[in-house]
Amino acid sequence: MPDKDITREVLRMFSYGLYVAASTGPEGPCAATVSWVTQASFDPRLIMVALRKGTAICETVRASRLFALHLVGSDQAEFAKTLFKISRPSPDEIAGYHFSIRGTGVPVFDVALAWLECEVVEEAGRDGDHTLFVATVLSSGIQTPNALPLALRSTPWHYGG
Amino acid sequence: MPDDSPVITSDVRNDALRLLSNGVFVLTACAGDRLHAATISWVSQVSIQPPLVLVALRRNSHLAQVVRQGRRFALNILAADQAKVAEKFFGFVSEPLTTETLMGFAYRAGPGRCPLLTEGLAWLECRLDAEPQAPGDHTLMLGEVTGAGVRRADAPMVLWNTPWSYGGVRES
Repeated sequence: MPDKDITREVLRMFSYGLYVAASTGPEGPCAATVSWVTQASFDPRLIMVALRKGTAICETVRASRLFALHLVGSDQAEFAKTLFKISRPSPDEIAGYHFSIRGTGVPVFDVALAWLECEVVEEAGRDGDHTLFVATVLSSGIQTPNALPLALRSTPWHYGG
Repeated sequence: MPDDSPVITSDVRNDALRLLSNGVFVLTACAGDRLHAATISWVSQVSIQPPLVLVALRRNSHLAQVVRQGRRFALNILAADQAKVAEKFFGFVSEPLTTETLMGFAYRAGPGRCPLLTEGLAWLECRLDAEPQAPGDHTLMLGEVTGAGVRRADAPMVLWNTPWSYGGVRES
């Protein structure tokens, strides 16, 4: 077995962005900050998002098969931080962040610098503590042109290791 | 430019997909009595317990084939100032076991026989755990971490801070 502390240190040298995943379930909209995201195919355009099993966002995405992935800007650490914690949504805002509901039922936050509206095409991750959602990009938008995304490395936070 | 490597592009910000943040890694493998290496970027941790990482490799690439064959791979994390190392491995590199260097860079064999670049900041060695079914032009390979090492704690290379991009829509 590898040394746990060294494994953690190396895994924390991986580079990630910060994203807010949002989906709508039977109990309404749901959102959470995540970082384990990568593109997974050019054609079709697919991304992979890993969500911790048993969390509200994971269960909601499993049920609805649809979600939005929002890019958090380099000056929007507060947006990411607020959505680390689960908060009770109202029909058009979560923790003060306003969203609109797209035709698919997916919530898209006004504040995000960009977003990808995605539909799950495959689930994986049986052996791990996160579910891997492989999803096709249905549509996308850049709401703040030329903005820089927030890098996990430039925040005081860690995820994983 | 080979299939599994970043492409140079002048406008990386016209596509939301290109705003995803990724690191830059040299993936290495040992299979069929040869050592193999290539620069990749679509990498993420996907489980804490057990520690699993995902690499997305172009489906029919040599790289995907040798990982499947050897059942192991290593990820070498490059430092922010090691663009020249990354560039050397944009093409799929394959050398006999007796080679003293990989593209001129020294390596040591890891516990699982994957070559570990001594220039790299840190390395992880993984056992291929699963290749889940997924559509798309890349195959997803999940590796369970079997070994890890840190050589120095400098800032790692982020694809953002290079002239390259690998993502969005391929320009060919």
